[in-house]
Amino acid sequence: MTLAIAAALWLWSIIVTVDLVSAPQGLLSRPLVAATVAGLLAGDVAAGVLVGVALELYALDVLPIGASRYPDYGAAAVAAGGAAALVPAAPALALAGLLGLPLALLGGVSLHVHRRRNAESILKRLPRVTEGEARAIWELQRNALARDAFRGLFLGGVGLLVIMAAAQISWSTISHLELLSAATITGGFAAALSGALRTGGAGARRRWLAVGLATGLLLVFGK
Amino acid sequence: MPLSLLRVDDRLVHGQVVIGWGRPLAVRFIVLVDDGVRLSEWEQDLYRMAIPDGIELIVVSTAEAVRRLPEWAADPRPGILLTGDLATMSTLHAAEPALVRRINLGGIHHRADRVERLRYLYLDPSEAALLRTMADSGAEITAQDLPTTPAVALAALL
Amino acid sequence: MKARAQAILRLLAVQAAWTYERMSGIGVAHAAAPLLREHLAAKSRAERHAAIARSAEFFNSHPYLAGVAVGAVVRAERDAVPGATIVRLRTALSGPLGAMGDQLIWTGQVPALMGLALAATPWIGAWAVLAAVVVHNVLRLAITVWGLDLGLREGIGVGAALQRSWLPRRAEDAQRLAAFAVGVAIPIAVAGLLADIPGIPVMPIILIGGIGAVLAIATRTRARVTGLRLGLVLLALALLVVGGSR
Repeated sequence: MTLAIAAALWLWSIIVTVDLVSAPQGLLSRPLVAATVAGLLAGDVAAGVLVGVALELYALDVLPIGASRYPDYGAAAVAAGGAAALVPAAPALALAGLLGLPLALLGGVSLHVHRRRNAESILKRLPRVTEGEARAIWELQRNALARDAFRGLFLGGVGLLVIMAAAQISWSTISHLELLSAATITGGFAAALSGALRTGGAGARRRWLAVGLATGLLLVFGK
Repeated sequence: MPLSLLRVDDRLVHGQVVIGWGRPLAVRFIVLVDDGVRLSEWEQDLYRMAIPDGIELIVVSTAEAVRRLPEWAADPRPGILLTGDLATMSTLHAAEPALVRRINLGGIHHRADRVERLRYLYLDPSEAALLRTMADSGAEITAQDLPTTPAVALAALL
Repeated sequence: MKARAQAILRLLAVQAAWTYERMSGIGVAHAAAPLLREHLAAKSRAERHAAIARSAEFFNSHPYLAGVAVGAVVRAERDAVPGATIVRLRTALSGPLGAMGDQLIWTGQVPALMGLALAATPWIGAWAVLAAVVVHNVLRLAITVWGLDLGLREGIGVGAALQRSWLPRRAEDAQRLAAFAVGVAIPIAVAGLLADIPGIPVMPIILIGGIGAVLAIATRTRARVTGLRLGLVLLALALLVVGGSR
């Protein structure tokens, strides 16, 4: 990994981390997007897409409503997509599972911590906020954005360390690596299907899901 | 069929209710018990707009809810009953303890006099005392924002 | 920069200072501040500050539709609606905007676009991803601007205007499209991934994944079983085999 690639992946990690909740919430943090661009930056866009597809299946199960807690797949997908491009000896899907899933959990924890820090920041300025001082509101927004960027800096840094660690493993000497890929796919399939069934509910939406599944199967077997 | 979910949530009708719980429970009606909303047509219009196709929204006052609880409990359709505060749910429990027994705390949010118990549950001392009283009179109270998260028993909250 | 443009830009970061206590309250006040400065220019400084303080209170809705509330509240403040009524308007808008936004965006637009992108990648690769991002952001910006303008135009009557609008009908359409797109995507994506590990038997993966999906939605197990947890457990088991066979 060259310094330029490392810097680009780190910067992309920060962008996707901030995109998830803070700004602009423009789908950049979706694993399919984050990993594809990471693959592009690291020189193998196909590897990035493959990792992105696997992790996107997991992300389809996430419903970010109310105060619910959920994994953050953004920087995790950058690390896994970057690793798949930079460590071609390792199976991309094994990397998606081994690196992407634990890092997504770490991302979720960091988001929770970030929200607590936001609350502490508000508490410090509470009298000014209660008085309706616009300057205090602006400071809170600015600091929260900076804090979220720092979260991305941290997650991106961990991701780079993990990529470097993956590059040190002599993958060709390890047998049965396909089991790791199979495990990643199985979990992703379960996540996407359960998410679709849960949010589909009953009635017309469930029927549309069934028609979609049938269409997908037809396309797979007709290809 | 007894009501599928009896929930205290100060946001009343929102995403966690209509999607988070409504979908897996295949809910067909939602009862919103709130004296303020009952008197306000424009607020009722807003809440009605947020209800997906195929679900009926019934807006009632606390007194009306007390009278109609047996009717909803006998309704064969799965339903959710929502109150915006603990006092309203406590009134319903006192009136019909057998029908209002399993109570879900889904969202009571921050206010200056409240203390955080869970990230979606903040209680002041009088609310905590009210929950103890309801539990002593047979209510099974748990906190759970979404069906995919574990329910937290009242004993672990107070 | 004009106040409206400033508000639109700020609405793109409405959840930046999100907390469990106030949720999007700070972000809503930040977006409303330039509009309140402009629309309440004739009022006293104390009145403007009181309006900003009200805007910073607890607020929970969908971020893309928060502009509806920002616009409506600013208009209500300009129309000298009593503070208590404005607080009630914010509270009443919060849940319904959240419910509609969650249906239109989180269970509609986003899974629809990601499902279509997943289904299209075997044919057009990364271009599918780019198309999804472009379409999403065009719609995201359009919804934000539409919501703010609607709120500013209608004020306290925004509820009736929302009801007459495209929003309630399109939310259901978006969810049906999402259900279809995700349905198409799952077999195509899984088949594409399986092609990367030739020789591995497909049936156990489908069977175990299917059982995992059922457990993740079953009443008794849904709070404990998720696809992510299943994936992690299977990876741990696979690591035991891989480690043992080195």
